[in-house]
Amino acid sequence: MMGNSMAVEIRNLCKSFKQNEVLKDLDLSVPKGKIFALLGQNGAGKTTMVKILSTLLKFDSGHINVLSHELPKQSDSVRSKISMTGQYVALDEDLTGEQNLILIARLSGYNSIQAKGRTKELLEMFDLSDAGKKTVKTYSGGMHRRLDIAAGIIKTPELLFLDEPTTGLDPRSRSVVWDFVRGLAHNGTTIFLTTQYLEEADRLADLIAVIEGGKIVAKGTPTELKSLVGRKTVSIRFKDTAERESAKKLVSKSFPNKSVTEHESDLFSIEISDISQANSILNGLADASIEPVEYSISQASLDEVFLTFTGGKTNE
Amino acid sequence: MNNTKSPTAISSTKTFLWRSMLKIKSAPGQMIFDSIVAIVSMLLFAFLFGGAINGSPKEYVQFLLPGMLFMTVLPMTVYAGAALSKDISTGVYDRFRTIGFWQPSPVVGVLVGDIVKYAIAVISVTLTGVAIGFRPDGGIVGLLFGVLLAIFYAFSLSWIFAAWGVVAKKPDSVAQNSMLILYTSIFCSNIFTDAATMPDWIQTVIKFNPTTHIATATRLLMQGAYSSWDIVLALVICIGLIVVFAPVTFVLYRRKDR
Repeated sequence: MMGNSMAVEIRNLCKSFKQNEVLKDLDLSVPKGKIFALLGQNGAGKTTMVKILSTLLKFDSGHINVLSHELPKQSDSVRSKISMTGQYVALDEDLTGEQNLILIARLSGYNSIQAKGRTKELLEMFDLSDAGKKTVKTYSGGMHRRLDIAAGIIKTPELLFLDEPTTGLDPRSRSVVWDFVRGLAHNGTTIFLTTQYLEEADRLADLIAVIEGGKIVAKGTPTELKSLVGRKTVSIRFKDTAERESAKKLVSKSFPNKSVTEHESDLFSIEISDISQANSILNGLADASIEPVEYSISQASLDEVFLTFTGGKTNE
Repeated sequence: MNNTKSPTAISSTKTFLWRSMLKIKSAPGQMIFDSIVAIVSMLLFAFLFGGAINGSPKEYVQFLLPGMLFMTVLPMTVYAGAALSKDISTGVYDRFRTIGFWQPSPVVGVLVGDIVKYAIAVISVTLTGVAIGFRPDGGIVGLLFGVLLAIFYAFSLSWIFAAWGVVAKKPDSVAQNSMLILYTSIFCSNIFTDAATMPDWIQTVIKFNPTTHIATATRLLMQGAYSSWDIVLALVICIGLIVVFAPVTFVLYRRKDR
């Protein structure tokens, strides 16, 4: 379906670099107005995909629509509506921060007064007003990245690509970037970001797709993804090992299909399918006059989701 | 979302020229260094070889100065290629490409901007030459035409390195690998002495070296001998280089697929 509510639609996308197949028959749709995160390890094909969608790279086969324009035929129309901030800082190191922004503003069609106004606004927004007059060469990593993103949104795009926007950033810069992404999405811009940080995808994105080996292996909201893997777990702590043992026996009897895992000397955890099961476990213990010291119910983390879908390999 | 239109080709090219000027202003070191090297070489060549080649430095400088312009300006023609290569190897180029302006303007901006560097170096050499006794028959007008031709040739030649810079993997490789070609082109010519005394085979090389013809034309201009086919030939060479290499550079730049 090629509806207008989609910012990005990809069918059967293939891309190889010489012998190396990077994207293999990939399908993906990203609705408008959402923050979408493409989550994957190094070398999973994230950057290749962003470069293709932002018209920087040709693809071998497949169908791509970006904001209802077909690639590669309507690349120019796509370019006028999108913006892209790559992984490698796209700034002129010999110019000042202010000059960099004015340069991009002028190239985007602002006249010289508009360009100066917009530059001032963006420097303030990204906490760079003081650094504006300094040469970019002298900037820290976080300042570089913030200026880079500012340059990417001089003209508010309909769709913004951010390739690993917070990789290598200090916490303060990271939170500036996150706030800005949320603000932009709130005003209607679709955000397509890539990340290798689960926390970032979890906290920022409305929708996540996990990419592995050139294919999308899972997609959904953060909650949906978490519920795909493992159910909820209830962990209960007792006053000593003896009490835990008797509690464990009791629970094993009433839930013979579930495995109970012991932790430390006074704690066990058990997987449950819904909250009511946690209640019946606790009620059963109360009936046997066993009083837990504390208990908690937790959901599978996105880490587990990621490890499950990417075959348990870790980042090199 | 924004009611701005894409800039015209002229306006985006002007913006890139502005960028080139800012870069010269923010880091004038290279240009000052180039000019000092030019002046020192001028003095060295005139006073070391002048007596041996033409009897006296003052005699030799009459022949040397037009040639010395090329010794100065030709090594500078790689800068534009290196600058383009740098834009591509950092992400700046990717950003430019996602903005919808006339795509050759970054290339034009860099190459035209470098004319300022050529002019400053060439003028430094010329003033030094005049200071040590260069007095061309063509007077100030002839001198000016000669200087303009030297700058124009440097601009034309820079298109070769621009095309090279666009396909090069690293900015440094452009500067390094081009030196052999440039220095061959500088020394295997009639820049420093008349080729008549050289062996036949080297005379053949010199005849096919475009720098030889441009230097000849520059000498003629400075002597005020404007009506010569050599000058036409020089202009044809310059324009030919641009006509061939500018479109090649634009196409390579646009098709660049990293």
